[in-house]
Amino acid sequence: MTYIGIIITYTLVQNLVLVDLLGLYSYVNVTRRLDSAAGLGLAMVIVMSLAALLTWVIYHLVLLPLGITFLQILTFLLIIVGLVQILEMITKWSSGALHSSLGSYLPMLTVNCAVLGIALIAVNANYSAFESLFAGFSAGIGFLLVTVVMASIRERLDLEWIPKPFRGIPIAFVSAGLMAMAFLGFDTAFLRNLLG
Amino acid sequence: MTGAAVMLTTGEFLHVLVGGVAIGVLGGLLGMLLSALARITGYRVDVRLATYRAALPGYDCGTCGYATCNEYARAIRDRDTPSKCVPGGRQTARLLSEALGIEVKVSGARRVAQVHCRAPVSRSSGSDPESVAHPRTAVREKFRYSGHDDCNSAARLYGGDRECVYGCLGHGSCARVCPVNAIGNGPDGRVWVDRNLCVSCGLCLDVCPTGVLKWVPASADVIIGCNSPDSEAQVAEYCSLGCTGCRLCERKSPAGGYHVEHNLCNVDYTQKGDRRDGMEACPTRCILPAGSIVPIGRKVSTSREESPVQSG
Repeated sequence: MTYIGIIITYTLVQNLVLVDLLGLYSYVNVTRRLDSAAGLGLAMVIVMSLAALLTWVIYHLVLLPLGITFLQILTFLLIIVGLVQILEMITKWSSGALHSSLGSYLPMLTVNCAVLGIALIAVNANYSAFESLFAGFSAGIGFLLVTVVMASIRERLDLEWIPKPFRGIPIAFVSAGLMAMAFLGFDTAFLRNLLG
Repeated sequence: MTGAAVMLTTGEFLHVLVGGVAIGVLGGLLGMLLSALARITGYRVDVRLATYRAALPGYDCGTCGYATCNEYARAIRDRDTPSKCVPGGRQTARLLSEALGIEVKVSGARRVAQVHCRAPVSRSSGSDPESVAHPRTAVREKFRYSGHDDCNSAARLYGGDRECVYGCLGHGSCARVCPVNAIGNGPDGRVWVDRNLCVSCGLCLDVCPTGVLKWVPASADVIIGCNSPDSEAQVAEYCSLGCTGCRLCERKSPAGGYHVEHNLCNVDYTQKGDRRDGMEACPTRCILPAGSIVPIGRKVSTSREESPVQSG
């Protein structure tokens, strides 16, 4: 039951992009085309899952025993940067196709605040290791969802006549705002009523 | 003890020390892991790519057909022709030649963007005393625009606040998109392009709502200071500086390449004949000597008497 709660919370209710406003740079800049949005979203799922798991391990095995939890932001950044670099090496080494589909998005995730965000959220929520992994995975799915939806909207907007001052980034933010309002529908009270 | 506020107890000191050492050890371990992995997987940073990227100017203007300079650098590595970066000019060509070991020539004559309108604009920009000193005399105003200071916003309202919908609106949107700051508003609101700084990227042509910015060859000696295809009577009604299509320039300089189309003078720059007589004969003086177009940014002329168009 906890896992269903986690996946609904981080994909819909507390979506990192639309509610916590994290990772907006990549969200706005990569959603011009559907394929690149999907690529970034998939990379995000992998990086977020692994980052949430790894930071849990470091937090509970290193930071807590030594009593230096005040260093969590710095440590987590270090780990995420290392993790992304390792992933990049592995994708490049294992197959060219994987690297060309995911590799170009990995550097963008090196210092992405959404990745750091889910790591900190998961640690502060006192999850177990597996729950952390699951929270990261759900947040990644949430990111994938909104980028793919957003890219579809923007591909359609390309065909429409838009007043010149709104073209490009402004209309993207207006669409993102409307999407965020739609996602407000998924609040906890609504879900509690729905699930009984 | 004066520094008591910042003094650490031994316990706190140890605490910080443990933190520092832990971060250091963690970073060191991560670094060793990464370098070991790099050795195993044979991972290399692409040095060539970085060199090509450094040679490109970084305007991300899209002239080469790629969205960003990064993408073009990648394309060069993947055997695309390295001569597509016109904005980079000679320096980029030289750097790419060094990096690739072949001669890179950016083809085609250099062209620059120029504003084809000489109407002075006095925006009532509040307290600027100079703008008050030069009331707008050339073009009739349709209404007083006091909205967002942007050409596209202004043009959205009945094609701008001037009777002439073809000329420069003077809000400087082109100056804001120019990657090299070659465009500037003069103190009287007139917009200039410094043709020595212009890198031919064309971003200003895209952003301009009236199309008053047009290409001219960098070697052009004259520029037509009008963009209105309206008839003589119409132009004379709303602008004292516009081209009326009188064809006097055609007659005075038959070899100069002047030709009037749709009541607007054009110059065929491939004709090398003398254009001076035609320029001087123009009754509204809307044919400007290109050399006199002075770069702004450095405030050159502040009064209309000294302004370069008057000297033409």
